[in-house]
This record gives sequence, C-alpha cells and structure tokens, in this order.
Amino acid sequence: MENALREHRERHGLSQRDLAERVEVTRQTINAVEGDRYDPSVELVFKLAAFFEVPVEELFSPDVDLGATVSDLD
Amino acid sequence: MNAFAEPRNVRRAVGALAVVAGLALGVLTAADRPLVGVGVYAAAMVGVVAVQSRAETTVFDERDEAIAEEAAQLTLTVFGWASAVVFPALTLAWGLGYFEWGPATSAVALSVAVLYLTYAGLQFAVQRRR
Repeated sequence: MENALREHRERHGLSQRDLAERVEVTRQTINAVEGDRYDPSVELVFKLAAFFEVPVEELFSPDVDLGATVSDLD
Repeated sequence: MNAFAEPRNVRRAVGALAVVAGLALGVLTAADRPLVGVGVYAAAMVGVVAVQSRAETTVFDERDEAIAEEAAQLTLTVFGWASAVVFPALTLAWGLGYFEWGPATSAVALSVAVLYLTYAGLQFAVQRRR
C-alpha cells in the first residue's frame, strides 16, 4: 500500500515522534509505514486520516488492482 | 527526568528483564537452586510490569503485534516441517531397531504434539468467534 504520510507529516511540521504520540503508536511504526515496510491496520489508517483531516484515499492508495466494481454489474 | 519517557529505554528494559527472568529460571534450576531461580524470575517479571506502567508514551503497538504474529506463524511452520520429517524418521528408526525413545526425545515429541493440539483447538475456537 502506497502512502503520502511523510508529505502530510512534513507539511504540518511534525516529527515522526510527534505524529506517533498523537495517534498513539510508536515512532518506529510511523517510520515503517512511511518506508512502505508495514501496512497499518484499518483503525490506524482511519486515525491518521482523521488526524490530518483528509479522506483516507488522500493518504493511502493500494498498489494492487482492486478488481471488479459495482458498475461492472450493468 | 523519567528515564522511561523514552520508549526505546522501556523496550530495552523490558527485553533485558525478560532475558534475566528466563535465564535465572533456567540456570538456577539447573544449578539446583530452584527457589532462588523462581524468586529472581518473579522479581524480574514484576519489574517488566512496573517498567511498562511507568512508560509515558506508547511502547508496544499494533506493529509489534503483527511482528509477533508473523514470528509465531513462522515458528509453527518450522516446527511443523521439522516434525513432519524428524518424528516419522525417528519412528521408522525405532521400528527398525536403530533408535530407542528415551525420556528426552519422548518429552520433545509429546511437547510438539501438545503444541499442535493447542493450535488446532485455538484455531477452532477463534474460527467460531468470527
């Protein structure tokens, strides 16, 4: 899963530690998410999106084909 | 300043205390000092809880859980493959008269069997919850 976490964090002048404290995880987790080494839980994804006040899609995007959509039913 | 304000210090302290607890129990029991071993073990484990309770920020989180889950899964896989090869081979050797099941090998075989029975039971229980 690709993400724009680093960009959003830096735009707000936050360190990894600051952000980690705000969303109640460790600095290592923020570092791992930014480095694409760890896919966060749905809960953390929503927490981060809520913290930055952006839609989830603005922060995270899947790097796989999501497959069928409901439009395909037509 | 609280030394445990830094999560890294807490993680190190917890890790060190856990190692001390395990080593104390094992080494002192082997050295025929079981009561001292259990005493040091208990004190170290109390220390683990105390250190974590003094932490001012999140020390362990979902990533640690994910790492532990993956490590547990890999452990089961390694034990599974080892068991699939080692125990049938030992049983064959026993059947052919080349090997005798002693207390140690029997205990290991029994422990692995209990481990997998526990795993199967918990898998069933978790599956029913979901």
